[in-house]
Amino acid sequence: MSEAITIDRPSYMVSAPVTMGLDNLGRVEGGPAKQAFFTHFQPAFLLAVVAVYYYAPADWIKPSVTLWIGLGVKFFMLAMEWVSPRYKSWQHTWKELACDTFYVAMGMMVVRVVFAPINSDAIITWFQDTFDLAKFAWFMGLPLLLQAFAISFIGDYFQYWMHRGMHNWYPLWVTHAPHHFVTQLNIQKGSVGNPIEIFLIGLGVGGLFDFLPRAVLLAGAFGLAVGTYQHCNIRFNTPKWWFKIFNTTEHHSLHHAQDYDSTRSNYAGTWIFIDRMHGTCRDGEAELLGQEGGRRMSIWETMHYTFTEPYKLLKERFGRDRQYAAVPAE
Amino acid sequence: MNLRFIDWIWRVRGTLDTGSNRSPAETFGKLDSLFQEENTFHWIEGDTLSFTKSRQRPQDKMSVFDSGTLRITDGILRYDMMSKALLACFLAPLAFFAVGHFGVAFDKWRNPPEVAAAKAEAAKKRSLVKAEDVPMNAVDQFLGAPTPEKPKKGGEEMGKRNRKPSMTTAYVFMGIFFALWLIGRVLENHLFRSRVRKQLAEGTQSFSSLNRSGMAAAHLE
Repeated sequence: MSEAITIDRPSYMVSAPVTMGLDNLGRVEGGPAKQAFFTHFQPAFLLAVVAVYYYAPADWIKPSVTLWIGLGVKFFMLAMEWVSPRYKSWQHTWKELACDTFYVAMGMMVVRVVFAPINSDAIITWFQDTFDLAKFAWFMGLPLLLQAFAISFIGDYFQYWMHRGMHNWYPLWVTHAPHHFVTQLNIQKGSVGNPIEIFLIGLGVGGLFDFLPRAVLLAGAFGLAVGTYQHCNIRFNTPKWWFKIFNTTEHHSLHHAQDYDSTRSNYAGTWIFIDRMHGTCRDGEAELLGQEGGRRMSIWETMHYTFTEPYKLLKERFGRDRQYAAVPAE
Repeated sequence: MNLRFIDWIWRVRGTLDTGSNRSPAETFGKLDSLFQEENTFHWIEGDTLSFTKSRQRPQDKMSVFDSGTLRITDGILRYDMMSKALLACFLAPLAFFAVGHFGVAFDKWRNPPEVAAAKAEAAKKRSLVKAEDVPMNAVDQFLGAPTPEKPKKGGEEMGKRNRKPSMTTAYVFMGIFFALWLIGRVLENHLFRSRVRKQLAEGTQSFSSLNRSGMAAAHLE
């Protein structure tokens, strides 16, 4: 069942604002070869990445190599955004590319450094030193793919609740809100946000227990071959079964829609079945994204919004210049 | 202060032959759609169109520019437009140089050699179960996964990325932003010129096709 919710349409809009359900989703435009490629790419790519990380000798998949693999995948997806864009209105411009690259740099050079004393590694190290987690070493005897799924699932489940919390509790929402002001999705948009939010959403407990190093790498493969699509502008003919298990651009575009109810759905990063388990999944897609009617939030405002918004609110409630309504004397 | 010698960093200037004897008002009329965007204000005084933009949406084709003038004399369009984004991109390498040094200094302050050594010692004790000591699961044996090996001394460990701040990251981003500025400086000028040409040509085509259809209608009558 599908339905379209209509909102005032700005000039750049070319499709229905919010399409609910999986029946009326857009399709890839082009000849049979392009159709076949963009229909089978997602499952084939996931299988390929998992196979490489599963079978490659340890020397081939050193961290320095996997860093380049990750970068290569990003550039490949950037190219696919031009070959099969989901929406023209989401296409990169030079300015967007520069702004998005700034956020990527900020994440790598500021967030990672400033928050290092309290990041996941620090928290996990504290847990490992405080509790005897070697009791859980039996995890390491499980099949590699099961371990990989466990790491990915534990991490994603934690992030699901962190993300859901951000949409339900004001102090967390003001950290996350700037990310919801994006009016486009593309490969770099996952990095757009206030530094506090980038730190919080990056917290994970996936590495709490001892797992085989190869399993950790395979868990990363799920992120690379599934999670990456969240903020992508690539039109795929995604198979119906894929929507049941994995998060997709369709799901995440609804999460970024201007339609309020849709933003309160699809919180998971990789495994959309977590949302299905908790009743927060919405199938469909949206082109019209953003907050406050899709107004642009500058980099400067993104940096201070998290602090100035609560200040404004507190000032409004408790400020000295608060206007009291005159009460007639009886 | 005369900024004429450096303002090419953030200003895009040039001339373009409009290729017709249209009046400035007519030409600006053809370009009108470029300025029909949210938070864009434009006004025409004689042969000059001025515009300002704020909080440009990414969907705005001229979002990179914040203000500018377009002047037409004898069929030649002279444009002069200012971009804060180009200036910020040009200055970004300096900022990343400073941030890189801050990161390295912060890390040194947090992890002086004696603390780093103590942390490494604690990490050795912490990894109680070694991958190579755990018997491989039968499923993985059957599927032919490589057996875990003892990590080489001083070599990289699988799945453990070194996230220690270094100036290399800063230099990479400095290079990226300088390249981005170069690309933007050339590309945005090129895109503006091609957009203007397209708008003017479209206007001419639709004008001539309108004339043709008008003539055809007159002929039929």
